[in-house]
Amino acid sequence: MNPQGGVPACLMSTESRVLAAAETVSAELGAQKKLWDRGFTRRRLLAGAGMVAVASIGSQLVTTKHAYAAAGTSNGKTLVTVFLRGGMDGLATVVPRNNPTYIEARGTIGIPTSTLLNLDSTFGMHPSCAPLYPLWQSGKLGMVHAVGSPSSDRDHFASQARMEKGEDTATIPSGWLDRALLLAGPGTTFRAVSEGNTVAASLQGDNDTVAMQGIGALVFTNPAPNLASSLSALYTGLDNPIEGLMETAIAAVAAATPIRATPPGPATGAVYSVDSFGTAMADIARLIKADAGLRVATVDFGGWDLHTNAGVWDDGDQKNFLADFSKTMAAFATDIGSHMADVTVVTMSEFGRRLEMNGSGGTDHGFGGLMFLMGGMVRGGRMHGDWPGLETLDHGDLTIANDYRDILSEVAQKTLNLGNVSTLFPRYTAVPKGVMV
Amino acid sequence: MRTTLDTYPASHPGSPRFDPTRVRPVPGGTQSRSSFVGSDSILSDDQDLHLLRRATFGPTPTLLADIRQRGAATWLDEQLQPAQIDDAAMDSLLRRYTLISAPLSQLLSLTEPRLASTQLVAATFARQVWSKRQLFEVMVDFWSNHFNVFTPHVATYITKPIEDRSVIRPNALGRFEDLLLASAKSPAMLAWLNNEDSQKDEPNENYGRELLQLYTVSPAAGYSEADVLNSARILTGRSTDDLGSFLYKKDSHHVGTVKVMTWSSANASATGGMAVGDSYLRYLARHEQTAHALSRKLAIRFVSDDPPPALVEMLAGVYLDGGTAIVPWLRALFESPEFAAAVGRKTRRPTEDIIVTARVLGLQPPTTGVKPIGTLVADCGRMGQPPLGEFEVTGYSDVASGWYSVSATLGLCNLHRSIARGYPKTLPRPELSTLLAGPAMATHGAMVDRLSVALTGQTLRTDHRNALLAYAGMTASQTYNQASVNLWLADLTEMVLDSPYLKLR
Repeated sequence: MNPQGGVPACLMSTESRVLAAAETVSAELGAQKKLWDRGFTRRRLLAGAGMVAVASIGSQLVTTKHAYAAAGTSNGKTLVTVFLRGGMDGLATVVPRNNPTYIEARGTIGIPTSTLLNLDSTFGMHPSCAPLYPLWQSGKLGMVHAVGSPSSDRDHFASQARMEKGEDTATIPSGWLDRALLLAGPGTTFRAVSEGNTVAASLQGDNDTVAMQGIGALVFTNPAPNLASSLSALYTGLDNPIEGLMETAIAAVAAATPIRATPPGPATGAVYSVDSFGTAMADIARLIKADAGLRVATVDFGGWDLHTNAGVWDDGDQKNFLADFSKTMAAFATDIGSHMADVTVVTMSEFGRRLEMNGSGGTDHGFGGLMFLMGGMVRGGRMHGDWPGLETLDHGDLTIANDYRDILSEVAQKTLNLGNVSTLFPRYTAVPKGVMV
Repeated sequence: MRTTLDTYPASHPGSPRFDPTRVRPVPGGTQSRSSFVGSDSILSDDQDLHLLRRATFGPTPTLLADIRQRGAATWLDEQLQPAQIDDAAMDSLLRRYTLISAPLSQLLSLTEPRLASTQLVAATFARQVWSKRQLFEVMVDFWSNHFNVFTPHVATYITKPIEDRSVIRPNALGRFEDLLLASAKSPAMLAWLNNEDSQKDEPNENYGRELLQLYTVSPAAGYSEADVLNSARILTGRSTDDLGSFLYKKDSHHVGTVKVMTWSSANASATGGMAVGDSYLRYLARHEQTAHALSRKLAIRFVSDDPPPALVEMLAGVYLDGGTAIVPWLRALFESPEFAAAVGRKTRRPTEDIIVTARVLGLQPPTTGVKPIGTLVADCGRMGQPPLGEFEVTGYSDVASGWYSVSATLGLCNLHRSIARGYPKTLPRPELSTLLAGPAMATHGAMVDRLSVALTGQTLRTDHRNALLAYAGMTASQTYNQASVNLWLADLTEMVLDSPYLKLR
């Protein structure tokens, strides 16, 4: 096998070499998959086709399960999705200014117009989002209001699953980002990362996603030099997916080692919030700065389900959540510096919250929500999509004027250079809304 | 002293045996189940061992000796009647978790009510590790996960422990219908899914929806949004007093005709609302789609991540024929040819991995207190599976693909190393050297075989055995050297704990 093709190896980056190798085998894999589908087992496949040799190149592992679709051209850019779990209150975050309907409905928890950061003639941003304001002003941050899944049933779990699978019924086995990776083509160990205990639903599927709680966890505490190779031998010839999981884990330790050797601290001036969201985003920044081949990352930030005591504009849970969120997002932008040109961060939540304050000083599950878009490829400094206003509501909730699939399709297509993206949301024809440059 | 297993015959002569060829008639009868072919797993297809891997939280040498001696059928009969099993040591340990059995009045007076739930979480783990009623604990886990209530949660600090002891455990091997009816009156469930606040004018659909979607018929039944709304209406009034007891609030109950799928009721009075609800719940419990959905879930727990449809169909028939009785349903599963053929087709989830590690190393409860048990429970959390701790209403995933975590994979390797070397320090356990107890071993190959059998119940495939030996710089034919074994025993133990022989079940 000559993975380098016509280009001298010395002129290729590690990642390029790995990618070239992967391309070489992808056609073979595609042909083999048909056999595999008929019950031709992995063990027999490996024994018969002698493909073990492509499993590892340098410290990076080729993701061997991806490239059954026509491979696209990876452009070295990164999409970070942040899921704000619990139903983030878009109406407390990007607030319609001087809106009597809003002021009356929100009562004591309403954000006064006088405190807002001016966005445009219609909207202002919660004052706790001040760390994000310079990014808005410099055109690196844009928002979509009244966005969501039109089939949302206001159920956290079903709505999250729907959004992460990218399907109305959530019966499809793979996540939308997994399908994006299929289009993006092969990659390296850290091509897809879920920060957390398990692979995010959006990344479940054919690709080897590294689910991890920080790169610091990717280590064997056992110093025995042949531990990894012995484990690898014990996980050979199993005819079971755990074989690939151990391979990925071992490769991740190897790939993480040089990255962990780089200075761990964020760049000067980048101060993350002290919580799991801050830790996860700092970790993602580290992978990006180390040029680890990260294409897609998922990060969770939970706890937005503020049914009770949301607080007032300058005190309480809502204010604290937005402050922590904004602090970490801004720190991430500062931390990755010039990499911002090649990175898009998109936030989503399963639904927004009801317009009217409830009896407990909070808000109940709503419908239309809010998305943040941040990065060098984002058409920033403006609100995107349609604004349905607060006069016509859906069961007391902001309507959904913008389908989340329109936004995510465009974001993924432009960020990852995907070409035809109709498979991302197979039961929907997405229409770009011009959120990306 | 540990019993070595390599001296036990694979089949104990004269004992009653499972007959894997005994095929139950398939309801409908058109689909052949004889063509189901087993995997060529690395796990031994010794059926005693297979049964123990599935029906318990992990075979131990003692358990394997027991099932060999008495026969699988006798062993299973006993496990299906847990009250018959003497579990005195477990009971004694549980008495240290005073709050899990404390009366409601005492729980209400707690200054830190959270402790009631944290004790339940730790006691759940302790029972999974040490109870002799292993299949019962597996089923308690199954139903707790089916009717998942995230624990500890401020809304259910004291009601979840009550639910565990009065709803889940009494019905875990009873009838699903009874379990469902009890769950629908459980303050923990009603709080978790907001039914306690559901009002006739504006029903909260959370519980009524999940009742259909997750607990009974599943979306495959094809119910409509109108059915969901009626489901919620039927359940209005099922609430709690402010003190953690169930209370039917008739003034909250929706009155008027309600219809869900093919069930309907005039539902003419508020006072009759409980009876209407119970009738609805019985309908759901005995619905064909419930039989199918639950049977598939059970088969996923015990057989494989993608169980054969014919098996699911057979189990659904047994479930319905038995009036939702759980014991005959389980028995049919364990006696099915699909079960017998599914060796090695399941993967241990992180907490199951920690439990089997504790079991095969012979960790014992602390002599006093419970603190080190809490240490291992915290490890379960770090690996992503705190007992009773899934936040999603769906409960924990029961298929391998739900657990593909690099962090947990590595974390468990590192944890095996710690536990093999004495962590947590205050849990008594035998010396590692007892894993090798028995007649003198001539070679390092024999030593690795004995170690593997002690930990996994079987020897390893030759290439894996050689990998283990190579890790310690040994060869199979090398003369047994006590000094080398002393030097490497912890590392070799750790490696077997890491191996797929314990990762698969």
